[in-house]
Amino acid sequence: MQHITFSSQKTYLLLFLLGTFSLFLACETDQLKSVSKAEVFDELWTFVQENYVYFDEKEADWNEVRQDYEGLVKEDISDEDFFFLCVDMLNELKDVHNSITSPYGYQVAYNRRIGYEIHFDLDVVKANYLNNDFQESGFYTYGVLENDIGYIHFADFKEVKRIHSIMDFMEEQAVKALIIDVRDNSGGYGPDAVEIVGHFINQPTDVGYIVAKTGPRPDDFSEPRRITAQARTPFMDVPVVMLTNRESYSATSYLAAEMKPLPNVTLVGQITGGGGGGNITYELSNTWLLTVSLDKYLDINMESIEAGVLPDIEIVNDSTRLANGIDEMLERAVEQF
Amino acid sequence: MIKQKSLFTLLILVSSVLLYAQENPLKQNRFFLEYGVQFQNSVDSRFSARTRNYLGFHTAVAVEFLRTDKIHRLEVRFSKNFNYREHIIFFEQLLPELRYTFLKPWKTSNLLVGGYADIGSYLAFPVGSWRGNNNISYTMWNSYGLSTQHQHTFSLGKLQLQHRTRFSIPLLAYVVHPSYGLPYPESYLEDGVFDFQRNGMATQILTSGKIYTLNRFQHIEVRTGVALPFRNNTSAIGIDYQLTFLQFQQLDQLRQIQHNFLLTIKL
Repeated sequence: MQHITFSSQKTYLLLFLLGTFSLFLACETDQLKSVSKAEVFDELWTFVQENYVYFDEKEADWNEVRQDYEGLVKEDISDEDFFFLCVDMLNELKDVHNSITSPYGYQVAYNRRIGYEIHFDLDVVKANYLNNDFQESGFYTYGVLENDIGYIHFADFKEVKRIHSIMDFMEEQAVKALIIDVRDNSGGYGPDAVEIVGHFINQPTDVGYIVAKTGPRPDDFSEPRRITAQARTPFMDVPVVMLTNRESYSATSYLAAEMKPLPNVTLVGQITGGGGGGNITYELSNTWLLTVSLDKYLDINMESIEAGVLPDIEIVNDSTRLANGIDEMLERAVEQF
Repeated sequence: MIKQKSLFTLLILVSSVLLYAQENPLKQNRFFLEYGVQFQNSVDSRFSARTRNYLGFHTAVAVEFLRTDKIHRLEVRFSKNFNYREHIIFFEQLLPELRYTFLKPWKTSNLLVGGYADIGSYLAFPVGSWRGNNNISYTMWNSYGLSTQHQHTFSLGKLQLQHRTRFSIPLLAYVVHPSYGLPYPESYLEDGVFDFQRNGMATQILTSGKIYTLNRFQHIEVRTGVALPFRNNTSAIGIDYQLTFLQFQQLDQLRQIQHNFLLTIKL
């Protein structure tokens, strides 16, 4: 029978203390340690510096921006004022995908709507053009206009794959043309855009590129990586008009950029809202959530879509005429056929 | 559900080992079950500089094959956090951790040294009001390292207790981790491989790892416990404390400190 020796006792005590100390250490680190505004400012600026992809395109000198704002950061300003100061600094990049979320709200750093007349009302389309004869599936509203023109409005990038059954419907209806209306669709999961594009190609087709940040240095970028759409059935071999407006943003801009080069597609309406960057969210030390663009979409011509995708035919709705039930953008799309 | 099925299946398989005769003192099999509470302190610098505490449970099954004086141990470990929904970063094992350890006596019968190989994985996924569309991180590893164990029997009053302390440290690891900022592994960004819709990424994840040494990948475990034998020393019940330090440092950093307080049963 072996008895505990004194040296063994010390070992056990040491191990016990080590474990207990570690436990207290773990508890202590969960306490939200007090951070100064200067530290949060530095953390925010550095994260953007190391991760943001559009400095060149935005023609923003981020070092200069730091100099402009750093002097305004005083520890005695209110947290709310500090929040809006950070938002203003982020706004220098004019990127709608950049944002900060705090107890004072969710603030998108840039308003893409400023300077644009944006008028769209799906109820006008339903009542006056679809004659209240339409179906809805997820975020899709669809039906057939006069002269066998299929109409699909796509409100949000959720449940995108419902498009496949909607295209089956359009094929059954033997539509002679198709209007894909993505006005007021503010986007979602960009990779899903190819699910829609796939119905307008009959073989795998390159439709764009992605360039990603690969490290914290300013020139740490990947080579452009191809985005290839696979053909989907049914293949809709009909003339297509895609309707866009300034609210067509992010993944919707991807969709517009991917559809535009197709031979049977015409973009009609207003420049899209852009938003070509995939983004990432980071929690700052004071628990605020910072979101920035860290990869960028390029169209098939390797052009950035961050500023928006230009339509082939530009037209915007007049608010008064729309209030009277006239959707001029839709009527112009119909004229295309 | 997959994890639960895997664990259950393994329990059945391991239990079948008990069917083999254990009468040969030079050839024994021992079966262990563990249940306990886990306190975890974690940070993934991809999402935050803040560390967070989590409370969860930990369970494991192990089989030890004793051949003469050598030990072969197979373990399957599973843990889950209870209160992750209170936090906006969710850390969870992707799959139960598997570990094989080999030990043999060194100088004395109480001290054993050897090595181990293991496979583990963690997923970090923010929940709540996070708006980014690239917010996922994973760390998967297959590591090889050194392992030691010290064991002896001592008396406490009228009780005869067994004490065991274990230590392990990796020397080499194959680690898979997303590339900077994106959920894709580095090899997935190769032209001709990349698919924007993430098809085929699972295979690429497994083949895109790199070899790291102790300076970049640390998965250190210290464990100590006492057990009270019964049934003529063929079974035992005990309590263990295990401290685990897991850290992987690339362009970002995953760090976890786990404290496991366990009830162990040897059958």
